Amino acid sequence: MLKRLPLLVILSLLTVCSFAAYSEKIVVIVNNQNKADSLSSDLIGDIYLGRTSRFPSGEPVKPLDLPKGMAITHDFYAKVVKKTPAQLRAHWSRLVFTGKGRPPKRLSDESAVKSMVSERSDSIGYMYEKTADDAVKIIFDAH
Amino acid sequence: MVHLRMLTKLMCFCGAGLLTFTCNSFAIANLPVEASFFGTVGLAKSSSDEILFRSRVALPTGAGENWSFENDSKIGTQLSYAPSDTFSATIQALAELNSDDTYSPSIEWAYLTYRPRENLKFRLGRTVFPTFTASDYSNVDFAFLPVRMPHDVYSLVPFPGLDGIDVIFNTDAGKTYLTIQALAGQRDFNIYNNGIERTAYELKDSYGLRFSWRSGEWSGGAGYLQGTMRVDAPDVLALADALSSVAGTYPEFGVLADEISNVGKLIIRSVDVHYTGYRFSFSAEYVQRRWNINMNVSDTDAYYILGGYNFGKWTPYAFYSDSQNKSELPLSGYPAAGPLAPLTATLTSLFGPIATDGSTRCIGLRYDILENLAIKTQFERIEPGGSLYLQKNGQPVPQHINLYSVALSFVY
Repeated sequence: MLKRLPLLVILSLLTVCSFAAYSEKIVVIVNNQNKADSLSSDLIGDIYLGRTSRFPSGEPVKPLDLPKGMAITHDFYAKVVKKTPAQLRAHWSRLVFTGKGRPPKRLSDESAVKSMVSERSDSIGYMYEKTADDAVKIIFDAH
Repeated sequence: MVHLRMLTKLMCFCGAGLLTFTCNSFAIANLPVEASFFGTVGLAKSSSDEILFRSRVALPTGAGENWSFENDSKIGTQLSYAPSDTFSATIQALAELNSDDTYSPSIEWAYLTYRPRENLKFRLGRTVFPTFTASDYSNVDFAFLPVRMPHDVYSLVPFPGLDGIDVIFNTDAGKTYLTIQALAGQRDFNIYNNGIERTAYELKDSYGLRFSWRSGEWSGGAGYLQGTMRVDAPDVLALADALSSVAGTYPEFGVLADEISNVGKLIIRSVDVHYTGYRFSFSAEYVQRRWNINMNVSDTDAYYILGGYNFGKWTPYAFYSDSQNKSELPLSGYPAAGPLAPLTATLTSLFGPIATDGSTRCIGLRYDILENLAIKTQFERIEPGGSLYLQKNGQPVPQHINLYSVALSFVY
């Protein structure tokens, strides 16, 4: 039994980690009045890269971002937008220095994003699932 | 002596950068503006001192067997003032080596934007038209994979930008996004040519149209630009007169004289396609330039194929580019001895280096040190062609040169 102890410890840690990862799931949120019930990751990526400025309904969309360097920001861009930090910066350089676009507005934290999305119908934001509540509508979750 | 000259240039370069940075800091302290910066410190050297490689036709010097700081080094700054979503003003200054051998900053962009709808934008002032995919951000080296965009293609647009008005319209068809950009404008600029050195050019009555699309990871476009170009080149006109004066004894020179003019129509057509995945990226562009001055020596067809694969911070890449001269009148076979020999020599020294084919094979590696700072190094095997290369003392152009480049690029 003692010989199997390290194995049991590793398995337990893996289980705990997987639960932790599950609870850290990233979701994309919009205002409760938004007509969309779900959006594809491609469309969310296009919105966050400034390629489109409208929801599928034709309503305008203004994406909200979180500070650089936060784990959630890195994970959102890697998993949903599919860009490394340098690729993302190169992308926005192409738009900013040619007057074709500006990066999404950055808010200080997830609570600020939730607050603005709950107030403004044209907003879209992302946060950990545990932060989202009834004040906003979840339209995408990153597995 | 070379080091002293380089040190002086480095100081001028840093001074120009500091000046623009100071201006920005002052502006930020007093106005609600956004400031952005970009720059590159680059070194390049080639295997030959017989010709010098230049990254731009405005450069008065280039890379030979000694490391050249001038080819790729630059610093730029942009200020944007956006009081509302409808109106904004933008100015962008760039300090890099000019055709007059100074680093004085120049205004690359300066325009007012009126955006009546979220998908429609009018801009009045100085802008850079995206004749090719990366034309309008070709100074922001951080924004693309190689040290510089393939020169066989990107050197074909000789002017930096245009003063005029442009309109940008965006729409979508399902998951495909479309952009149409139209422009009308003009611009005076300088080029540093073989034999006739610094030359003033005037582009008038020009207009351009670019259509581009994006669907998922694929994108592409097509562009058209035309204008009337006037070249202030007394040496060329003097040659035309001299050729005319001997037309009676040597009719071939008369034919050439009739085709030499300092005013002509410039037309540039381009088509491109790109794939931008998380790891793999690919670009290809094909370009035609028609420029009916000086026996059409500047008529060129060119293309490149560029690919890269991202391993996190490391991105190895490679490209192949090719340019074919399309002038129809011969530049050889004229009298090499006797009284007409000097005319033949002048003719070939002025136009010979331009009317040549070129190609480049390149391999390189980009390392993203930070999310806004990258170092790139590349090796190019070049068959020199076109007007990008400066001949030294009329020495014969070598068939091939090797070019080594390293550049540190940033945006802020």
